[in-house]
Amino acid sequence: MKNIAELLLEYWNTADKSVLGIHQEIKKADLDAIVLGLLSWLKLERKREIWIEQGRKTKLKDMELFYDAPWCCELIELSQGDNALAQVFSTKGNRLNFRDDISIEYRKEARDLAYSKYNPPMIIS
Amino acid sequence: MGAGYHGGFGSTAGKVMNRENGHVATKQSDYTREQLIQSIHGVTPQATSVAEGISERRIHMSVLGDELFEKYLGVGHEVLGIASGDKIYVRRSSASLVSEIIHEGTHALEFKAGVSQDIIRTREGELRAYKAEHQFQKAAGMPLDFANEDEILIHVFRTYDSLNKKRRRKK
Repeated sequence: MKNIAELLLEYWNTADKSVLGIHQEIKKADLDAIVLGLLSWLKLERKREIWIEQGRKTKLKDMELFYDAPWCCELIELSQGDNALAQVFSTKGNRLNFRDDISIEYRKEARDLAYSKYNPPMIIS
Repeated sequence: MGAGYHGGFGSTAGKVMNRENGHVATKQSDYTREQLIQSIHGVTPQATSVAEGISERRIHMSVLGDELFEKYLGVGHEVLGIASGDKIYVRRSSASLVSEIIHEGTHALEFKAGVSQDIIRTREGELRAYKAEHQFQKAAGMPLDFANEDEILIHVFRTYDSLNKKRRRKK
């Protein structure tokens, strides 16, 4: 079974929502924002792991969702549905994290994949 | 997410550096996220798109103090703004903060629209961002970085090579 981070990256490259097991109507712009939001959060979580290993005072954190952002509301709805995202993530209020039954190894792999493979270059102005 | 990751929007009453004249002005910089959104919304169509992107958190904007900006992003004092995917980073101290947001926001909007980073990073991509910023400055009655679009064209072709290896921006 592919890790969720691989599926998120696959969606970003193909724009095919079926790779995430999503068959309901959803605006592409919202799903794009969801996928980038999740990849960014996973990547930041890996950075936090590294900072913790380096002795910095930080901790892993939930992904914060905003009720005034339509894509965040869509993500909350998707996390309660029948799709690949709902199999891995759960939301409580405006917070998202891995479901309790997701193993530590799987979480680490997801963070690693996002950290190593989602790297939009910096455009400097 | 977004601003919260990297410092966000404090209300620092810092001094605003006038980079063009090379001196520090005494103007106070005291913006909130909402104020920045309001200050660009409706000025030009592109500015409205950027404002809506930020408002709906499709573009993640971080307004950073100089030290954090340079330390976190690993850049020098001459860099005023950075776009990376759907994230934009600007300096809280910038005298042209709002027009920087239009420039970097233009890059972010193209990324969100599925334009390849390899295309966004070209001179043409920079040209689009500079033009959007220029149109915003004109519409907002701000001081212009460039007198006209011909100047922008010359600047971009002198400053960026075909792979967007930036040398220095006019400011």
